Amino acid sequence: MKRLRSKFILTFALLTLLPAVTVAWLAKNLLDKALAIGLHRQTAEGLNAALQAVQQLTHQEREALGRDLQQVAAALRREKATGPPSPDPAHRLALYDDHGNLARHWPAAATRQELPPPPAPPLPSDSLSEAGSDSLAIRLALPLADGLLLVGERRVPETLRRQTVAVLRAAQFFNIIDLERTHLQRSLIAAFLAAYVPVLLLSVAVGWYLAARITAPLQDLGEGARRIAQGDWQHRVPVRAGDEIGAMARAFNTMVEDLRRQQQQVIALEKMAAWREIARVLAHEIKNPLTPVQLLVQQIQDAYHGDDENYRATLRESCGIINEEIDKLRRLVREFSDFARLPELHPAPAQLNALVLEVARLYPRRVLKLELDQSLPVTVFDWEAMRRVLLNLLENALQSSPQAEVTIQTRPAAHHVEMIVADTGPGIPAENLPRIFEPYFSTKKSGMGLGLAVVQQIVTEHGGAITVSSTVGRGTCFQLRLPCTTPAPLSWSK
Amino acid sequence: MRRLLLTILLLPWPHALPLAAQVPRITALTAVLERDSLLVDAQMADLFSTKIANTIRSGLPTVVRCDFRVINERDREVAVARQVMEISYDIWAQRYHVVLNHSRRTGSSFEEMERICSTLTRLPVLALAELPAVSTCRVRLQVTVVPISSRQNHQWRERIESADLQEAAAASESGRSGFSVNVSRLLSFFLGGQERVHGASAWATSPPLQLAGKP
Repeated sequence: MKRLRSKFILTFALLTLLPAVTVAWLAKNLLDKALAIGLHRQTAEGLNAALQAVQQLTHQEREALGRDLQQVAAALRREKATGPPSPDPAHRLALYDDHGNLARHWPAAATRQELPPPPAPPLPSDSLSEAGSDSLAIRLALPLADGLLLVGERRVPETLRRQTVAVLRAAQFFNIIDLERTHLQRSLIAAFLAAYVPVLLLSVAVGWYLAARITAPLQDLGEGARRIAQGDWQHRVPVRAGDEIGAMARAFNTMVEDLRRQQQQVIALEKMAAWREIARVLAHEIKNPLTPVQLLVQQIQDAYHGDDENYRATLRESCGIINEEIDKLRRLVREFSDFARLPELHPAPAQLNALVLEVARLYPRRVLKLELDQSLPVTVFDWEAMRRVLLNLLENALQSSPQAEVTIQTRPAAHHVEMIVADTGPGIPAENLPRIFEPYFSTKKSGMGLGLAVVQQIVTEHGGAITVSSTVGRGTCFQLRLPCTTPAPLSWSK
Repeated sequence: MRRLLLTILLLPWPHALPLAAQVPRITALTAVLERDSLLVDAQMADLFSTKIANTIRSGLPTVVRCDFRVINERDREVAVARQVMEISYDIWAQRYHVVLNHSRRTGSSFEEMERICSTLTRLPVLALAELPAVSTCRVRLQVTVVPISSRQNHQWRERIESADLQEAAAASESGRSGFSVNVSRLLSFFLGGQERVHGASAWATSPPLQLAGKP
């Protein structure tokens, strides 16, 4: 059973896993494709080229400023001969002395705040050097003779600034994705597992629950079959639900009940057959010597020709007693024979109420209370056999007590009819009830104890059943059930 | 069945294995005692792979982490130290800056910057007072390149998540609504906020250094 449960759980897990793995595989492939497209070599080359291009443009701006600074420096050296320098109007230049004081500046109208500040020390010694460039302006410094320092500033064109920033951002993003490629793929797997593991656990739990719901009734059925096989006919499997599995459990219980009833019937029939065989043998063995014995007794009686009247009288009396006992034995043998050779049934459709009325007419001196249901359906039974049954039951009831009130009731029920013979006699002790239908069991002084055995046999032969309930001091009730359909013939072991 | 399950579970993992990448090498390592400090001279090669070089050139700052382990005669670790080299590129000044041990050096080209980074000269590792009483010791060094710091990684995650925010805003404007799984947030969660290491050198060990004269 554990294997079935494992199969259920595994199936659920696989049902969850297969689409999830497929989706994960697709997602990963899509990511790989997207990364392959995004991180294509040509894209990288294009971005690097763009980066180099903006660097080149910036470099050109620096070179233009540097050239201007060099020209201004040369012009300053030749100023007395050639006049004051005239730098590029796009540049702002400032000349600082060795104390950092502003000596001269271009354009002349520029304020102090608009001019490039002197660079932080250490100051460059003899060549052009960086003087604090940023995204707004390029700044260079050129040392001159006598501790003078010429500082120039060239505004970065807005277009170049924006293009450079855009290219830098794109390149940075590209490079980060390129570096993070493996980690991104790994993260996707981790994200997949994080989403999938709860689903897997849920599906396993659902599989476990469903498997338990299905396997538990099967386990009950298996256990039930085992208990029944061990002879525990009272065991019934619990009906857990109203679905197909519940129906299976109900069918199992019904099957067990039918089997139990049939087994009881078979046991009763086998018992009856055994008793009948005993009766037949006994009848045969007792009946055969009875006639010679009776003849011999008569011969003994006839053979005495003496004059002793006393002896003659004793002989006559003794022979009479012997003949009486022989007659009793003959009656006993007849009853045995009747029991051993019950006539074959000839069932025919008939009305049970009619039978009751016919039998009741045989007892004009006793008041029988009849409660007959007029809607009783026609039943198939052997009239004579069933008459014998009713007579037996009535005799028992009437003999229980001269004052006993006897009631015969008929009523329909599902698929069968019921006949109840109840009396208000002294009742049967509880310890005798289980043996009441056994042959040769009787609580009466007279009688062979075959009446109720014959009754049970006839009812069983009809496919019916008879039960008895009794309370000492209150009376006894026999309940007889006959099926409405034609009974299936039972095979007797005679 | 067990094998099948194992195969299914392991199926996605081979794709997640990191690819072999260029790693830095330490070609020379010497430890010296000078005044009250343990100093290190080291020469490195293949410090920056092409990807990392492109990252630096695009203006993203990169860190070269130098981890030092001082071991005694029995190869037991007695002290640890770390020095961090910060590299950045200023596109407007067209200069590479390297900051190490509070000193800033500038290179006008990538090659110059790489030369600066590849050579450690008299780099103070530990004060002599921090070393336990050992007669001789050796210094071990491992160099790790960290192109994406935790701060940058945080920005990177924000950028991924902002993609979903923009999509959500667009959906809201177009009148669409409903439940949706924020895949970007899930991804960024698993990307984590830690720094990313791309290439760590093998541990190199210096020749033994006599510490007998240590005060």
